[in-house]
Amino acid sequence: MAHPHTPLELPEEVRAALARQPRLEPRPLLVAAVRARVAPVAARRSRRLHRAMFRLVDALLDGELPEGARMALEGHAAHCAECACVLERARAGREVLRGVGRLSVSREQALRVRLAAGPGEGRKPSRLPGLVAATASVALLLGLGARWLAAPVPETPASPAPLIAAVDEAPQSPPAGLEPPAERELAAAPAAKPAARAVPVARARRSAGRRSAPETTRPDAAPPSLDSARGSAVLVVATQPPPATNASATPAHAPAGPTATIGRIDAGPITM
Amino acid sequence: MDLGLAAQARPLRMSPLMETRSLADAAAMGDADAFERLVREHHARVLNVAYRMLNDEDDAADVCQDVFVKAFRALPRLRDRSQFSSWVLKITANCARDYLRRRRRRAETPLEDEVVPTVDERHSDSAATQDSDRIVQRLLMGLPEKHRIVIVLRDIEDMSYEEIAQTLACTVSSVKNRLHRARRVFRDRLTPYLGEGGL
Repeated sequence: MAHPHTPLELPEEVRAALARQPRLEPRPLLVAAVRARVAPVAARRSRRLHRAMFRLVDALLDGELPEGARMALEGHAAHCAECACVLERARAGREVLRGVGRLSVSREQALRVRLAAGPGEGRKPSRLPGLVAATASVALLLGLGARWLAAPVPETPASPAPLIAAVDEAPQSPPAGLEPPAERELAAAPAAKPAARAVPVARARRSAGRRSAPETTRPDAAPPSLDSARGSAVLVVATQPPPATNASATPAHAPAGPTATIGRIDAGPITM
Repeated sequence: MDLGLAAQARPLRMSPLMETRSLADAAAMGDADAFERLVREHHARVLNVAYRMLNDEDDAADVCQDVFVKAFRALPRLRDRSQFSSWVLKITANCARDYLRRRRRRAETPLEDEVVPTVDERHSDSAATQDSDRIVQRLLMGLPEKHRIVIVLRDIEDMSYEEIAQTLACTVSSVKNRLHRARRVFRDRLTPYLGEGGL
């Protein structure tokens, strides 16, 4: 039985022979009976395909359906406007999704660089540069501060009396046995000039006063303890060579070496 | 004799699956060059899947990096290394899902799932920008995650049903169902743009 929608192709001689035959009149009752049996089947099949089109349109476009089902659905869509619309919308949506762009290559190259950096390093920046910079800054500040404290300053004629008085009130020497080695070395060395000794004391006192130690700048301040003097002496020794080795420059009234050293750092504990 | 030597000297061409397997085997033994080749072959796909899932290039790059770090660490435990591609995409889907959850918890961005663009947005979008890619991405972000990943893997990455099922650790029937629902919702929301001729 030929498909109802495909025209019957017959050779020319067969058509001529059929034309010569007397035409049979169809029996109306028979035709009606056949139509009554065939039409519901065709309608059911059409409805089934119609429902299946909504369900299988994705599989149809993906090529996942067998050949018979694919032909049946496409044949149905050729005659059903609604199914043709569904198929067309599905094709359009598929084309839209397939046509979306991809990320640019620069992103991929950036990713490659980040992957080359190793796991976990892409997000956290290294702390090493910051630590190096902070350490260098601290070292520079310490060096500059120590140089500023120990730098020889031109002689000033008159120093404030309270400051010199504070120097004079400094302990002459620490108790025996508690004297640090640096102080022992400085004690053996000749003392520096008095004027050159007094000005650094004032400078140290001023700097100590700026460092919020007002009681240390008072003229009647108590003499520094051995601990504070020792700690400051270590700082001076570490940043400055022993003060003077020229014995001829030492005046007669200059105090002994340890007093000069402690007087220089008499401004109180220099905290770091 | 010469012909035999020439045949021996000619390098053997392996199928992509065998090549992936041999590279994955070498990478599992600690060969960094082999893993780098695997990354070069797969990172574009991983990046795009992550981008379609997250809708943010930077987040996608982060997820992509996490995916390959996890893959490098877990590669010795992978039994069938010929399935490296689907395995990496599975990690991608999981990572993207975790990233979305974290993002939702932090509430950095408004919740985009299950959000359907309004009519005004549609009209302003199509009238103002006509950027089809952005519209598609917005429509994708309006799908639930499990539907979005299926439609991305099938329609954008062109994977088969079996590969998607393997990637998502589900059955082929489940993939078909999810894909059908996802496409239906996507088509319904895409229709206004198609009607205006915007895409």
